[in-house]
Amino acid sequence: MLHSIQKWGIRSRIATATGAVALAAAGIAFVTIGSTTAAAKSKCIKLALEFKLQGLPVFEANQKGVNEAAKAYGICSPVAYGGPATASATGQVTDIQADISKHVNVIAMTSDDPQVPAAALKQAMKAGIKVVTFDSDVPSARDFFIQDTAYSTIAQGVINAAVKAEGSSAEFGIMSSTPTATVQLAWIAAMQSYVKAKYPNITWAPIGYGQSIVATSLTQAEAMIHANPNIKAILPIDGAAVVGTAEAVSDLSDTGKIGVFGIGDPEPNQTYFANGSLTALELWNEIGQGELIDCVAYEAVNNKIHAGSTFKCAHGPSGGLVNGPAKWTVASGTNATTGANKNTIIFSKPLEFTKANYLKYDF
Amino acid sequence: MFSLVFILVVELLFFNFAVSSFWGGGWGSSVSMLGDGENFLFTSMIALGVMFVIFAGDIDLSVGAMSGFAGVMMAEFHLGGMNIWVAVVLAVAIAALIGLIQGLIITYFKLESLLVTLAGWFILQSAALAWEGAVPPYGFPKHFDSLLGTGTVAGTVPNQLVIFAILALLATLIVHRTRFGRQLVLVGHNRDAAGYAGVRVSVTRIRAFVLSATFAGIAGMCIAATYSTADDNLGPTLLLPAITAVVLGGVDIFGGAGLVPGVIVASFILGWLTPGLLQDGVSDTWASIAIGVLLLGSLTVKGITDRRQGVSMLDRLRARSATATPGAPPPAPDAT
Repeated sequence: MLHSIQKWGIRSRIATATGAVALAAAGIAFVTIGSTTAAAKSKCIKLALEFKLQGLPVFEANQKGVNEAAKAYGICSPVAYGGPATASATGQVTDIQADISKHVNVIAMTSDDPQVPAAALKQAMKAGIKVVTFDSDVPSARDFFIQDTAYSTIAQGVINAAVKAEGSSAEFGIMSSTPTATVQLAWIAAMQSYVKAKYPNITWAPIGYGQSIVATSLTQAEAMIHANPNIKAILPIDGAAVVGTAEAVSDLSDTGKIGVFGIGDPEPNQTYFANGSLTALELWNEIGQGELIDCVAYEAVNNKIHAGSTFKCAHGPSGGLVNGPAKWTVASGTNATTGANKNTIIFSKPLEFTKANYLKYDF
Repeated sequence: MFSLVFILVVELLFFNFAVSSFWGGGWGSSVSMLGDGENFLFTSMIALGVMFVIFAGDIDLSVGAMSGFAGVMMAEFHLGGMNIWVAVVLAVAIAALIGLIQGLIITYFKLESLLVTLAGWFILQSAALAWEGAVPPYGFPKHFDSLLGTGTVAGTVPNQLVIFAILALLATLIVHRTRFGRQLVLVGHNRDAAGYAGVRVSVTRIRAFVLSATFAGIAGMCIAATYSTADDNLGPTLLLPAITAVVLGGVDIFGGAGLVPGVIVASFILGWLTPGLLQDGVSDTWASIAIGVLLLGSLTVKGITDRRQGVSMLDRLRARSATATPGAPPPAPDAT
């Protein structure tokens, strides 16, 4: 056995030596990439965008908006963005630490977890970096949070669309992502309390969880349809759940019998709008949200906003934000109806996508 | 081994010149790259644990989920009113017990460890999710977060590095200086021969699973302390990086050969690679590609030298499946 260990030693020495060469070669390549992308030293605001993961159309739309308005707000362009290859909160922590060491001025992030990045973000704030969260918050460690929409408004939008089509005494079912997803939980609570108050004759099928995976959402939606033969409408409230549910309804030839009304972006669902299995989707304008990120970053770095203040975003490329209101308010305390808490900025009213307008949006 | 150290030195020298914040505020300040240890040391701990199992020629896919489950267990015990340190000890003990059960199932029913621990992964992650409910538990006492998580000794050496050093020393002594360690490597090298030589093969393998689960449990405590929260999602992402560190460290994936210090050095190489590249302005996607290239490169060269010596990977796969075939010569008498 001692013999085998010695033999291994020689082999591994050659192996790892080659590994070292590979590493050095890779390193040289990366330095070249790194030096070309590094922002030039200037007086512009260094904004670092951090996504839940890379490659989602909604975040790419955010990024597009951020880049379009960056120059107008004095932000270094193109804006540096990061995000793990898979939705991992620990991967985001590594990114945040890299941002701290790069001395950025603002970190704008949508978080994979409400707790995990808190320590790293606090460290960033201590180092003088402004932290703006959007979409998914880290409540204990940020200066400002851009909430997509008021929870109550988007919930009412979905329910009203479903009631309009299916009547106010039918069985509805919700398809969510995971049982711990913060935004989805808030939407579910808002929908349930709205229905209880306004449409008491609506009954609920048990909630399905698609784990943010299309295949799982499809199985869960089919199971929901089989287990609840009287179901009239399914309300998917996560990107993968919308695709899975619409696919399930068209696969089972239930188009027309079961309506799908959800929260999601139109582009990945064009097929289902076209074949009629998807009736309506609610979301907000992701490009406009990107522009608001620039505006809030600018206001925050210049210490112009605080709890309770109002501000305008008039610098945008079109003299204002895409579909934005004239001014925004920074919430000074908790509001149970909208879901806002201190230092929250609510982005906009939901935007409704139907068969009539879905082709107009590319996110 | 020396070449692994060589890679590490090359890597650190490289980042020394390429990354301006390399030294930053020194160890433990966490703004420096060298202080990034607390982002990967728990992966190194899991690597040390799963290494025992790999030495014995098995695999343990449940370690990532185990660390997540142990964290959630500890958090729920504590939030239920238990003293935090009692909760820590109890959670690690239960993790070890689950490792024991997995080991018993694998050896008694003669099942593939790959499949049993894959099932374990699903069960543990789902159990953690069910237990934590809608809001993953968070908020532990400051002294706990500091001692096992982000604290430092004398403001410079991260506490987690001390914990890792103790575990690493322990693992090195167990594998290279005890009778159990020698038996472990022999069982991985040739299970039948070990049996004929009087080694209690099943007991040895079960012990490896218990060690693996215990190390994963300890890593779970450090993860919970670092982020001050416990979540079913935090563990499973660490499984593949941990196995990568073991293999890059030179341990034979089929068992029976390797050195613990190699694994320790490899886990540092991998641990610093991602934050180093990120701080150098490279995206996470490219960092993952670099790790893949590094692993593939060193394995390929190992494969080439193996072929020169007349043992191909295919031969070893054949040899492995031959011993596992029911029609093969009766296995060695087993003292369990």
